[in-house]
Amino acid sequence: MTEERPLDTGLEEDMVLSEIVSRVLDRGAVITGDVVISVAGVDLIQLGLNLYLASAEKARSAGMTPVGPVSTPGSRRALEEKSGRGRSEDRRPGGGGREEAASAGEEASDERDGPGEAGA
Amino acid sequence: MSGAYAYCVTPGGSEPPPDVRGIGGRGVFLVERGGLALWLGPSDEKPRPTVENVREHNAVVEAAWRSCEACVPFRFGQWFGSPDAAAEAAEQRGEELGGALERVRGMVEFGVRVLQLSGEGGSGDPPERMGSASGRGPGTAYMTSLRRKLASEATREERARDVKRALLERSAGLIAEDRVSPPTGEDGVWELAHLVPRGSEEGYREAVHEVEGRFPGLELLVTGPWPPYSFGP
Repeated sequence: MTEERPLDTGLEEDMVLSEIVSRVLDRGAVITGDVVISVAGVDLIQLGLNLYLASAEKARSAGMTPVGPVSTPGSRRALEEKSGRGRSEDRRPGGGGREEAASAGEEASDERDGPGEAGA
Repeated sequence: MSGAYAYCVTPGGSEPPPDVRGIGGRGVFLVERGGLALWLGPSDEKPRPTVENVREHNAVVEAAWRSCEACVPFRFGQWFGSPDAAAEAAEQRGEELGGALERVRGMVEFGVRVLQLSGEGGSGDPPERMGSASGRGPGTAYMTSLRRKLASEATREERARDVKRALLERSAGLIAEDRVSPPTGEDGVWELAHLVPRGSEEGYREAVHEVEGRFPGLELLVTGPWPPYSFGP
């Protein structure tokens, strides 16, 4: 029995993490004028984008695609053709894809933020 | 009573899953005001924007998004002196939040990053050196480099808008709303966000797949489904 698993767990986690970081810090409704992401947060957003782009480049150069909530249609197509299989399983809400990443114990905390972080 | 950290808002009458944990592993409670349910967590101080805290914020938003028909996620870092203060702040924007909840009801968000992989003066062009071997002076070299950079940016923007149009045309009925975000850094990557009805995820992916094939040298990196972070008020 063939084991179904992501091609590169680290790659997937990097990409998912960067997407989470950019969304949580840069999107979402604001109900207070005192939003934290003004000074120190910018560095963290940039960290996320860099991770993302590095991962995308890595995926391209490796000719592979991550499996899960992050997908590259062109790479996925190539992968499917190569493997002769149908589409990879979709991770829908409740499917646990991002929960795996969320429990990965990332420690890239931003030590540069401080008392001056507040204030948009 | 300690302060309160705000994660998201859902329609009144929502119930949080019993096992949901927020920042610092602390519990989550709901405060209702004006037909809105505010998802809060006890917090003595404003959380720091660490990766772990960001993940925990997102975990609560995802739990709300999965368990409710509508969820408007909040941006990270919104802390209040008390739950009442948070509820008052939400109530002040109650009309906008209520409208946003209606828009995102039964929807998921997808992100599409428009990656220019080759050609047309993309980001892979070598930088022009000052006073290059062509014999031109540094001023000319600088202006040439600047012109090339601007042309490249214009090309990327044009491509992003072409992709946006093509996706909306191909995905009629699958995309309820869209947002376009210009690059935030030197990478030049444009990002589109789409609001897609739950149950239409596969059709949406097929549409992106097809549109990608129309643009040689372009790769569309699709991420999602996500809670509708990009479609707040």
